Amino acid sequence: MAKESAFNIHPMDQFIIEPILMGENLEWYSFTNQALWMLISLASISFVFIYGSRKHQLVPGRLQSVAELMYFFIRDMIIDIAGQEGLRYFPYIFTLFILILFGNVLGLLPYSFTYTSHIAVTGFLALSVFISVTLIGFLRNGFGFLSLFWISSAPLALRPILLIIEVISYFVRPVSHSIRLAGNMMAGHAVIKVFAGFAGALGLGAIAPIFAITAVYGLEMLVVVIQAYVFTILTCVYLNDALHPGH
Amino acid sequence: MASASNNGAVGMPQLDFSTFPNQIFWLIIFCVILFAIVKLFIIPRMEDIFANRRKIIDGNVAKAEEIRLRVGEIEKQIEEELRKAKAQCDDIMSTSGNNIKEQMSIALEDSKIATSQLIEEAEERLKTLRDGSETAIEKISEDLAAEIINKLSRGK
Amino acid sequence: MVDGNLVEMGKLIGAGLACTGMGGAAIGVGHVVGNFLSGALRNPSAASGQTATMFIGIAFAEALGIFSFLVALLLMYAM
Repeated sequence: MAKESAFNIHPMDQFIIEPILMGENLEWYSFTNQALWMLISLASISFVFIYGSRKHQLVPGRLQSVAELMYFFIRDMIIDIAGQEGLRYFPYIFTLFILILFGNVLGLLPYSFTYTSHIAVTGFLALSVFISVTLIGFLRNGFGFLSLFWISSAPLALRPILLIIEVISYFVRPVSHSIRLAGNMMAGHAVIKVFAGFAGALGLGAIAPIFAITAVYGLEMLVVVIQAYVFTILTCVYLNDALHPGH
Repeated sequence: MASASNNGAVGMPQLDFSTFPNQIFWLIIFCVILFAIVKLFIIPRMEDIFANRRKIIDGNVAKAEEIRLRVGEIEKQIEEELRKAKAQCDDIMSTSGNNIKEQMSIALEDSKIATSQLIEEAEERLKTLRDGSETAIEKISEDLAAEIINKLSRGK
Repeated sequence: MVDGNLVEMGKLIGAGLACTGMGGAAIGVGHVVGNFLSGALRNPSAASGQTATMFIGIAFAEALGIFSFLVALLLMYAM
């Protein structure tokens, strides 16, 4: 349908994965634009966290204070939500956070590729969170983990109904977890692209679409950070459920 | 997807399942490298910075405690000195008071002696004067009596 | 779209209808934030401790809107 559109707007083109460097065909190993942006994100992370704090300054400079801010923000968040035992899983959650944050923020650059807008990526991350949280829950609490679904504070007659609801909501978790991130990223970028298409169609008189792009871009800056935060905080909440199921 | 890249996206690129193995392959590589960076570089570095800061803060706190103790000691010393000075002051005050009293009593005695001497002298002089005056009065009264008798006898 | 493909038309109408669900998510998110704010203005000292809870609430409210967005996208592109 999109190719028949009168304005010639292709908001979804920016999400196409195409191989670069190695040949024309997409194999499972070929180096794509997505892999390139993952590499760029890796370089940015190294720049901020390793180059930025190379001097181990006591009073941090600009880059080092950014790095420290993120580090201790996630650390305090885990302690707040999942308690002191949650700190054991800090490296995993921190990796997840900076992976998503840098992917989202770099995706806002013009001509860039947002790897977090792909359902395969976020689905993989959400599924790995889901599986590892479930495993942690069973390994730490044994079958006591199932008390998460049997809410002992509710009246007895309601408990079977609540059991069904809880089980469904437990298994919906990875779906909502992944689609929330991918959907937000995709929607924001598509909206910007659509307005950009309007601006292109209107030519020089395109003040309103350009203003709209600016506004949406400002909103996206906010959304991008909040979505990374939300993904991480939900991971912490799920981890807390696994660590202390009988709440 | 080479054809799609030429013609624009057909449908949602996100739901093109043929790209999934590629995406997940690169994502796993990316995750492993990122985790290694986090584990090997970022966390030790941040913890090091944090521990350093903690150490310096603790050092400063310890130093402050030490200084506080020393201040207390110095305060005690000052108090001691003050008490000593006060005692000395009291001592000086009392001795000087005694001195003054002594000197005053000496002076009093002296003045007493001097006054009594003066009084005696005066009394003596008074006595001599009185004696002198008595004889003079006697003489005068004798003269007066003689004169009166004279006049009286003349008048007769 | 001028070729009168009834299935295409149905898909697009269905996608449009599915997008109304996002309005519900918008109401939900607004409700969460508004209530948080009115509570926070009554007791500002307790507000900073509850921002994380607010974001979790927003995330849950928004998830359902995202589902309807997903349904719309699936109708438009995937079916």
